[in-house]
Amino acid sequence: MKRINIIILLLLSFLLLAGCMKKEERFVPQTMADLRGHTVAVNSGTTQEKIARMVTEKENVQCLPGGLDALVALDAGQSDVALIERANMFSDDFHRLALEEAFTDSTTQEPLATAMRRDDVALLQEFTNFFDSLDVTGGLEEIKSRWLNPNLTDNQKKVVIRQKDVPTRGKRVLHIGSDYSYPPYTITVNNEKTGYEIELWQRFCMTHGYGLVCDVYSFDALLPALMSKRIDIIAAGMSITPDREAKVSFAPADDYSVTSVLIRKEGNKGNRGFFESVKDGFDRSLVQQDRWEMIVDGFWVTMWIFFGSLVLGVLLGAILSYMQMSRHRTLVLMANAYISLMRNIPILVLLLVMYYIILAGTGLSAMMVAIIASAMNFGAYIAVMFTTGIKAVDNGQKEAGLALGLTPFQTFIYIIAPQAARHIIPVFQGEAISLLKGTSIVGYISIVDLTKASDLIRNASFEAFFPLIFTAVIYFCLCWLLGKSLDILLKKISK
Amino acid sequence: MITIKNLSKTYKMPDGSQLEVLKNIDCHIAKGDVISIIGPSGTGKSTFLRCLNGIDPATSGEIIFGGMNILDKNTKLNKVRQKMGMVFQSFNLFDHMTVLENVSFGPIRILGMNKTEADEKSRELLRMVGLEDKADVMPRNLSGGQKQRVAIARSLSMNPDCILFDEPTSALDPTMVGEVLHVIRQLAQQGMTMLIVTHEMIFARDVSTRVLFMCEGGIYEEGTPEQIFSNPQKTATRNFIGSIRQSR
Repeated sequence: MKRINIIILLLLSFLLLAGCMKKEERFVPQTMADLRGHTVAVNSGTTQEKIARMVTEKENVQCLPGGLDALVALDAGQSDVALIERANMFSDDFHRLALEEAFTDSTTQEPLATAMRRDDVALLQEFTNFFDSLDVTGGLEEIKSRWLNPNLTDNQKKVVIRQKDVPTRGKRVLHIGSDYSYPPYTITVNNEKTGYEIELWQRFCMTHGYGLVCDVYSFDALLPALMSKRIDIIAAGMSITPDREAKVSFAPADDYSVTSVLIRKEGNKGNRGFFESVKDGFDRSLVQQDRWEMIVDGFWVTMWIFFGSLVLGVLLGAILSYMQMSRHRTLVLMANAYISLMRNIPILVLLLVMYYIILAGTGLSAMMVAIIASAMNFGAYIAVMFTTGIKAVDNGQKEAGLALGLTPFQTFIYIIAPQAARHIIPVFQGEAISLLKGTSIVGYISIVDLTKASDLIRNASFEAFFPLIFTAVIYFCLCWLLGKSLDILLKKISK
Repeated sequence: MITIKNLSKTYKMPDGSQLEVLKNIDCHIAKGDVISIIGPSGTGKSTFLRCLNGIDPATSGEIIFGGMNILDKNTKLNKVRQKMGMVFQSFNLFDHMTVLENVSFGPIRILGMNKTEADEKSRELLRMVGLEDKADVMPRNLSGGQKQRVAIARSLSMNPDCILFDEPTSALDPTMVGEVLHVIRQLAQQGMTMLIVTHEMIFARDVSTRVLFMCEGGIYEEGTPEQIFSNPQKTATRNFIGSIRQSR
């Protein structure tokens, strides 16, 4: 117990120290040419990434995967400037950051639009007709006046269609994929998935009697998800480029990307230190807009996946272990081949293979795919654990059980298993904790678990510190509890 | 009680050849017999014993016990073994149970006795082997001799018709051999049918009603202890008995 206190103290003081140390004078660029030699944060896959690669050296481009992580990186002092889509700034959340625009770069403009599969010609046609009629009736003007208005920064006032107003069933169900982290095109407000492009599709579906389901992917994962038919539409403020047009078809351009060069405001030392971050961050990342609800939802998703794959994995492991100890050579070989396959493929790759390839056409939900993939991996480790644990029990124990008059099955249950458990549980403890922590990758396949929820909050609130620390603390507590309860179980069975 | 006809056992060696460990054994064991099985190492004494309750399956022949042929595929071996106890060289007490639980496990789980009754009976058996005070101790805290006495009590707990002893004192310190043999002697006096593979010749001579001398996978010579120890008829038996005398 004492040791844990000391470790926590050490951690805290380390964070405090990191918060106090800070250097550097302010860098204020005037033109794009000034950026050479300075670190530039951009969001991966955006027009700004391309611009950054042109204006500064390759090693100075910090390409961040999540929606608006470039802003967070700039605010945290990780880079000198950040390049973002100008419209990204039209929100209160942005104005709370001590960041400002150095200048707007209007030389590179790229159209933005939602994207569909090329073979989905009907959908493109229907949406184009809808979009044109919206333009004619003036509906589009009204929508733009809310979402694309630099002077309307209160995101909550922009939302007129709630997610629950749009049916999820209909003549056809459209899956719309987005990171919901790229305001104003796609954003999370009051734990609702909304935004300019989302609203266009919401209106489209309501008019046509279609269902709409919102799936969460990181920006990088949207194109693969579209190509593998996991989603039907990408609505993420995606700029229209020749490369992309070769693969997907774009709806009529709904806006133009204009790049803003951002810097920290005077007095923003890049890092606000530990206590300030906690106070301010707690409010912004958890209290405002009831963002804590996302953490709670994410927590339950993580729990579901963990327990689901724990149970399935133990079952699978038991079967594999039985095969490994079987007298039939083929069963042993099959089990061994499976185990070495699973042990030598990273779990993330396995997850993506299952999601995009093997289980792609089965209609299984992402959650089920995550549980299956985790269980497949976990089962291999469990099998090895079971087999070694059972083999560690002296053969004389089995003989004594049989000689007493037990059936082989009873011998296993009453004699072998309880003794094997003593060898297994200490190893199992570590593996179960790994499994729990390993579930944090399911965000890659559109599941909003605890980790992904903290990503979304970070992107919506531009607050990196608190959601991450809070999530880390939750994982720590969960893993610690899990470890403790297995300790207690172990003590109980080994008197 | 046990009739063994033409019992053989062969092992398949990794190179594909056959190793014959038991060759055409015929033997009859009557109720109340105390049979010592002696002979040089590697002659199949233990294997013979382990074939009797099917822990090592025999290759061919018949073992009739209580009207059932143990080698018949349809015979429920667990039922047979409930009536034919076995005591091992390495004790094989259940490591995760207390001494009392080791003894009461069979009656409770297999015979369906209620716990109070089973505990009472188990304590009585522990008293008989002189270990009543160790009832709540874990096996790892016992000496070898004590473990083997618990193992005997465990096998008695099932009320067996006969007990097989597979070198019950070979893994013991010389100082502990006596306490275990004492218990077996007691059982012999009570008329328990027993087959004992042993290297304790004096004990074998004193306690047995019959001695089997095994050599090269078969029963080479058998007879009363008097016949085998004092007046062996065959050369190999004579050599074996002689070698023991010399080593004294």
